[in-house]
Amino acid sequence: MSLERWVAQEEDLLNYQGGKLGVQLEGGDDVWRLQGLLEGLSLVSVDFARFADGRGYSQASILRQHMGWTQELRAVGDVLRDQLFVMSRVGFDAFILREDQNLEASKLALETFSVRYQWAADEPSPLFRRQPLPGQPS
Amino acid sequence: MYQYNTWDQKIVDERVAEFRDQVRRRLDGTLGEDEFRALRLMNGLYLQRHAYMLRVAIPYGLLSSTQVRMLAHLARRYDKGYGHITTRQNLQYNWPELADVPEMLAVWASVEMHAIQTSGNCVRNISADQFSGVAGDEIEDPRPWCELLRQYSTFHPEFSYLPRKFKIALSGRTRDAAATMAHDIGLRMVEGENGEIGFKVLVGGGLGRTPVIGKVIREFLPKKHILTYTEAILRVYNLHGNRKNKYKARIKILVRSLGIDAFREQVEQEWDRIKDGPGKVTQTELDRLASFFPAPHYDLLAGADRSHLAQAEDSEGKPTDFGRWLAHNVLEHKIPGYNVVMISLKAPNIAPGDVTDVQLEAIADMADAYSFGEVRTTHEQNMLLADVRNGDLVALWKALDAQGLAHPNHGTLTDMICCPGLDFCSLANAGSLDVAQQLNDRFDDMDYLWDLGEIKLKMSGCINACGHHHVGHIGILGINKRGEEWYQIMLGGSAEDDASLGRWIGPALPKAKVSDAVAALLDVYVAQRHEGERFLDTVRRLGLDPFHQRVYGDDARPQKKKHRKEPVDQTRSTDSAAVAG
Repeated sequence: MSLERWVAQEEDLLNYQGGKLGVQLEGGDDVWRLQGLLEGLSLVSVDFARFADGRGYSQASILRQHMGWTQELRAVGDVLRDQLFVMSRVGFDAFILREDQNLEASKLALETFSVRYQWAADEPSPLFRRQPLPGQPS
Repeated sequence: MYQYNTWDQKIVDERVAEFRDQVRRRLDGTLGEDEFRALRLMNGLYLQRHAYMLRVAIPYGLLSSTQVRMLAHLARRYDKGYGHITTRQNLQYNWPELADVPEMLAVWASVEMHAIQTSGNCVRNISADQFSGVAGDEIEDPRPWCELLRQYSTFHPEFSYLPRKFKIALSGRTRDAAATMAHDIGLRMVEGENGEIGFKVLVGGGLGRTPVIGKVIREFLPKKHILTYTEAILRVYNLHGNRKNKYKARIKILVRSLGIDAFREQVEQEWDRIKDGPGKVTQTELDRLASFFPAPHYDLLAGADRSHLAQAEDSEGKPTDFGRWLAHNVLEHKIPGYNVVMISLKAPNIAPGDVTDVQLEAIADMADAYSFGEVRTTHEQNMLLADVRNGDLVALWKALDAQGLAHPNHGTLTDMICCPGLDFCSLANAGSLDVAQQLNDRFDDMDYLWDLGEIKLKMSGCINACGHHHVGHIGILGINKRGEEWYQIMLGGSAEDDASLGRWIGPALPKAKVSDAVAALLDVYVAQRHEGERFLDTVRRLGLDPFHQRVYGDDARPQKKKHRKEPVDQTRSTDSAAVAG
């Protein structure tokens, strides 16, 4: 359901017995409105209206790193294999690919890079804290 | 300079593999141009008027001689034998074939180079003051910080699809030569209380259609927080930057619409959440990065050798060619006996900022022989050798002169910043290179140019302002007026600490009249300047009226609106707005 609906009806819906509940965020939604309202949800999905609309990456980062969301975080909409790696880095763990995307190739895309410089949802420390790195050869 | 370890190397190799696959899919049709476009831009590959253009990253403008030779080799092998230095210290090739690009990238990866994020809506090349490490007024060398930010921003997963491009510049001196005021984030190293060195953080500067001078978001940021503070700014921008209108999507627009205080509040609220987390930079990492930028093994006796001075004058006491070059293209270095040598890429019949494969190879040899094997690219589209001993200056000059790289015009009118313009760029409205040629032809008397002194002329072929015309002492903007190329001239801009935006002097002029107009401006300066006053100072003192009068011959300057905050509307004839009677 939309963020608006969840925010408005959350108390009532907590007693919902008909199945699992999820919220879908649109790019312009303020993810912070979910603060304190995450219990009772088993899914948050983020709709990428266009693959180049990068707001969903910050929404995901905030959910994972600031709001402690640990359950399914799904990317939907204009989801292409070339964005899967960065999407998984910011915490998406489920993807509904755009119809024309190749599934097998997309699975491979999740492994595009083995080196990650930054801290993100998938890795709490930047590279310089994780590895002993060589300095200038003397 | 920084040397890749296995992880740095791996990441560029993996990127080459990724891009190779993306090009393959583009060529066989499985990847559409629309999706490919965003991906290729993130790898510095533009589609221009005649061909693709590939922009190679030169992180904070620093190159080894090995890298310079590779740039030459690729220019020869895959392009038309030359490259172009940009205002962000990168190098552009104008003629690569799409199918060759993955191979070019693979070759560059072998010398620790890449084209990552030199375009696209992501964090671009981190640029730095080209005098880092050698200027007398340096507080601290910013380059270790540039490298830290480079790694931080490379494939940052949250910020790969920003509303628009994002440019960061660093300066470690009291005098700003990196135009930090004209960047999305500008970082100035400053001394705080107790002598602690940190960053003054500027945000929301930028040129283009809506020129804005950056605002101070934080007067002092301790060094260890540089990454988390940058992250906070980027997160606020990523969430709230305009996604509907590409021309209103830079962070400068967001800062202006919120106001700097409200913007700061949002950033610092976010920063509070992350500043004590693992993003804080460790002393170990600082030390590691700093270890790659040690002072070279300077010859402490270099200052005792002043024999080059004897070559600067002939038997009658007149300056020799070497002497003229020495006076203008050789700059002070903080170590006695050493010099910063400007390699002028602004020779009379050359497009400003262009350099050939043969020149690049010669420059690599000169770097090895005279400057510890390193070369720099500058914000003003030149190159420089940062550590040249007195005793090597004559030999270096001969080598440069043999390559046409010793034109003694550094800092003068013809040392101009100039975009590629209509000849290359599909965004351009007017030619810039032929106007540059016109100016070079007209102002070929070096004695006159030297007498004029410091003049920063900056020219753009369209309102996107890649030539930085808003912050030129003289700024020239090419426009399309009823299908013809016309030019607007502005005066009084500066990208340094006295940052100011230029103002138009009057209606647009046809191309053939540009050098006449510039000559008229210079006449006013020569006639009215005070002792020791630069052109810019005279402009600021006199105001625009005397300049307008000399160029247009009117008695009074027409009443004109103050410098617009809104973008100039190209569909309106801009001169009709200026003439009031």
